[in-house]
Amino acid sequence: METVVKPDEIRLGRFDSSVTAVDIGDLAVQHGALLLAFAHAITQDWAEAEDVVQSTFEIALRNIDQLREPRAARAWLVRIESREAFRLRRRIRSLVSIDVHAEELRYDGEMGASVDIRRAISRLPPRTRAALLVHHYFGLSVEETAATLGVSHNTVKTQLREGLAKIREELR
Amino acid sequence: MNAGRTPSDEKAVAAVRDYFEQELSEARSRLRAPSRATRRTAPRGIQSLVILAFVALVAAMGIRLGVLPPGTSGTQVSGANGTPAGSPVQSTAIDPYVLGAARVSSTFGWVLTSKNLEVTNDGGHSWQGLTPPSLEGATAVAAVDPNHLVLGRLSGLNVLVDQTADGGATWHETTLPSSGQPGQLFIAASTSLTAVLVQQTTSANFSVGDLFTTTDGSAWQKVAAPVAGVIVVTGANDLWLAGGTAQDQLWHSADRGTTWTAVKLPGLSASSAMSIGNPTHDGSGRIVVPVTLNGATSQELFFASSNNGLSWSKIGAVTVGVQTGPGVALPAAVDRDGTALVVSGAPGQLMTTSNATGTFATVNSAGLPSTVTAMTFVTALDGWAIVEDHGCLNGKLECYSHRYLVATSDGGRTWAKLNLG
Repeated sequence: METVVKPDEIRLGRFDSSVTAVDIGDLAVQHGALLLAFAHAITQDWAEAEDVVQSTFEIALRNIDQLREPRAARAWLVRIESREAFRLRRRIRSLVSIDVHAEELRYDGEMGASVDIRRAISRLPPRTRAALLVHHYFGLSVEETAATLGVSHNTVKTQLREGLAKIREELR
Repeated sequence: MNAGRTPSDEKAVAAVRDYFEQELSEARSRLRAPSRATRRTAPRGIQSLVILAFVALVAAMGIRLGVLPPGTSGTQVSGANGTPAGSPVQSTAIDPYVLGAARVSSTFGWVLTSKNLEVTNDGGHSWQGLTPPSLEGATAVAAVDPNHLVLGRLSGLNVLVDQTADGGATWHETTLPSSGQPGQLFIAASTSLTAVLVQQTTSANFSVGDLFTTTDGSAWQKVAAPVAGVIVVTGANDLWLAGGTAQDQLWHSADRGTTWTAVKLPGLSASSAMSIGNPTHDGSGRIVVPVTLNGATSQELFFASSNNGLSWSKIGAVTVGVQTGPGVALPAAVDRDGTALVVSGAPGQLMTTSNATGTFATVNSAGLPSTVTAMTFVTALDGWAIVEDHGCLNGKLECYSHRYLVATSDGGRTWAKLNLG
């Protein structure tokens, strides 16, 4: 049966037509950078982000049989990663406050308003930032975003509304 | 433009997308894989990432897989909190990874690697490979004696349990349905009870598990375990379970898992910064529980109960002098007599006592690498340890990993690598 795939869905990774068989090497090649970027967007720390990606692939490797639809690999990995990122973040926060990272952010090579906007996004609560990215960059629906992040769709709606409001304030 | 958005909303959404594009750009540069998503051959950075993932997989397995004390038969052990070593990058060939091992008696022991399940009947001098139906997804083994072994494998949503009663000549396979996405497996067995605990990765912090038990190897009972973690069987009905999100819970069941009681060890409370090690039972039937008090200079405590947990006594305490965080239990062991207590201390050192007085001495261990994952001592002199040697260079893009078995016959003073079959 032919699967109808929307162009946006290919870009957004919900249906990646290039993935025809589940191979962890291929998954790493195709999604490694995206996972690392998403993990960093949550943790704001590259070392922690690498740990998150490591754990994500660990879980993915162990549960590769769960991926029944190879073309949904990216969404599957992002779902694993988002939960793992917040799990690790909770654990790390029990040792040290990682909020200092937000204050230490630097954006080399950028000037002016875009720096302020990036800083504003970086200072959003991590879950709000994650919801914004999953919904507005990955293009998942509110319901799909909620499922990916393991929260209710009302929570996602609130996070999206408040997150955009703060960014709008910075844009004024 | 989305019909429901205002122009300012559109700008905000564009800012979000721009933000992530820059994150993605930085991630790609860190992985040294710019715009190569369609390559069949993984770029170097990504290859390293895959290797890193593999390392993580086996390391994570190692968190619960390792050497078990003599007399026990499960497969679960403690923290693979390995430290990077300074050896050269070796990312092309990965030796068979030791996933778990147990010195069950002075002569018999088993080891599960990433390639084989092997047993020894001469203390590790020679090894014989066993041929269960499959080793794909195998992560846990329990052995009661040279004839009775149990192998656990993950296969999708199912757990496959292979049992042999004739030293591996024939196997009987059982499929256990997991309630959700299974994670780690923990298996323990005595002559009259086999228990398989399946961690649920969909649970909060992976802290919940299904427990399957059988008394005859055929009829299985499924119950919910209070936490996921290391399980130990003592006798026909008693189960001990150490785990929880912070590795700080100890549970006991006297009815094969139907009901559970939280165990409170003397002098410790729920607020104590502690990590429970692997409960073990010595030859006299005592259950011994090592506990690491986490901190800058960790302490290791040993508690014992001779009446199935009704009362406990502290039989050993030592300041180890290494820093541990929450959820990290130091590798510790108790010999069959219950008199030799051993804990891994600073690199190349063990803290041991063999006189039952609780007075520990520091043993400088020649040949024992810095990262001990798990230990077992069958006597005060004879022990095995699983050691790790893994780390990453260049921002975690160049990774290597080894996990192998070493043995001592002089109480930990000298160690030598065991050459498997």
